Amino acid sequence: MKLFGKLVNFEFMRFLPIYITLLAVVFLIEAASVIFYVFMVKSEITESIVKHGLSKEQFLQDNGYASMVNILSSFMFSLPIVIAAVTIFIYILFIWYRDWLGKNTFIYRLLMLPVKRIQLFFSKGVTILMLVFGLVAFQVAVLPVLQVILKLIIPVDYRLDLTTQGMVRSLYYLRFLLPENFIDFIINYGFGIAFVILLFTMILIERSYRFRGVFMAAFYGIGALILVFSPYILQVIMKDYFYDNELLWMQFAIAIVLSIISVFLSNHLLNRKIRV
Amino acid sequence: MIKLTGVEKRYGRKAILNGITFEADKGQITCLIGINGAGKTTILQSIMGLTPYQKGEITIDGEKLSPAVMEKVTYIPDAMTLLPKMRIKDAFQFMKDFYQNWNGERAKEILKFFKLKEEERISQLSKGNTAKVNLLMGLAMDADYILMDEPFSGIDIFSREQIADVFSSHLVEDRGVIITTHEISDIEHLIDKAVLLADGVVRKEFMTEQIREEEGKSVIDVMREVYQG
Repeated sequence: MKLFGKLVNFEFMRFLPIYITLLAVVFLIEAASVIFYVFMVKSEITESIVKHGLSKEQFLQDNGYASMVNILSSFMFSLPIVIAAVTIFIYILFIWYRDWLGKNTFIYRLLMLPVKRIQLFFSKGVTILMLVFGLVAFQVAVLPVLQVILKLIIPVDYRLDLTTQGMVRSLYYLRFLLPENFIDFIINYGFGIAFVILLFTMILIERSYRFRGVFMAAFYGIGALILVFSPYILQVIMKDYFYDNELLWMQFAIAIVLSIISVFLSNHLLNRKIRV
Repeated sequence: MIKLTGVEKRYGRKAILNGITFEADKGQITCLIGINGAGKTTILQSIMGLTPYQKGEITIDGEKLSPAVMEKVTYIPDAMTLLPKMRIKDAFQFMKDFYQNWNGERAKEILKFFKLKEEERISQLSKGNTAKVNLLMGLAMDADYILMDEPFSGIDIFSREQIADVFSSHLVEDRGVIITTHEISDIEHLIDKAVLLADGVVRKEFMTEQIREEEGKSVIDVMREVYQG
């Protein structure tokens, strides 16, 4: 267990410089989008009231309150989130391939470590999960800071302040990643973890069988996806027999079974088939 | 003792190892000799579980390969296996973190022997120094067996001499060494046992001292007989 912790720490530290850069990019673009918005609103206020002589009430009737809700739904605010999500997705692949294809063949060292090889699999998986949790926590922590920019520039009469929870509820992807109830949390992260396990297994199939492995991995991945979505096929055949909730639970059960099979398969590949 | 019995390995239809059987004892230097593609590296990788083999058995001191047994063996591949951004001292820390049998004092001793510095970055090492650091990482482990893959490959004569000196030093004393090399002349006088390979089979296996005393032949003489008829 101690060695597993060291493995996770080692994997996390390898990505840390890129991760810090990524978080900085997320913050800077989000801050820029807030600054852009608040100065736009401020100039609208100035123009409407000073130049056109509108009252505060008339302005608010026409434009509404300035609020983080308007920023959170903008394209510019979503952009860094998409960048971060894509980076982490690429890293799910990179976290394995860099050990084979990097300048020095580090996979030799990893496979020779005195730990069960499946621990390499789990340490990389836990690292990905930590990166996602870290990103979500960072985003939640940054929201009140961004609202401070709004508060500093827009007068209190023209703005609507939100609580952090209110902002989290306004941001679609945070609503998904930080659902209000525990069951949704388990389901959302369960599907996410199952997806990462599936990708890891596909990578290990390719690394074990190389050229042949590309087709085998594709077959495995497509097969798994068909299985996960099979309840919907069943729904069509049985003419809407199931409730949506039942379909979701069926999918979740299939994803769990597939994850367990994938972990056993990965363990077998790491112990018996993998090549440096 | 590291024992291989009938080890077979195929890539598709091509047989890489075709029933390899030999033993390497503790306290002896066993040299695997053969041209490129003879299966030397594959044998070492099979022992380390770095490449799967289809048939046969490999045991270390009578036990099948497992993480616990593998602590008895250290492998020095012909490629650098540390991250380029690491400094030598980071690599020491990495080894200390993960290996119970990492011997920090011996590592420092070898570092001094090779005239290397802890602050040097892996990415900035010359080819000769890279080979030395690779060797250092393996030798500094308190392992019973050391597997070395082409330690002299592509490095200058002075580095080769330094590495060859290691074989006659206390650093490998009492340990079992399996080495693959093209540069047999550098260590011919140091090896105890030679295993001549060709096309994935053992063509001849002999104790070098015995063949020198009984037949008056060097390893290179036997190689000529086996490979050139």
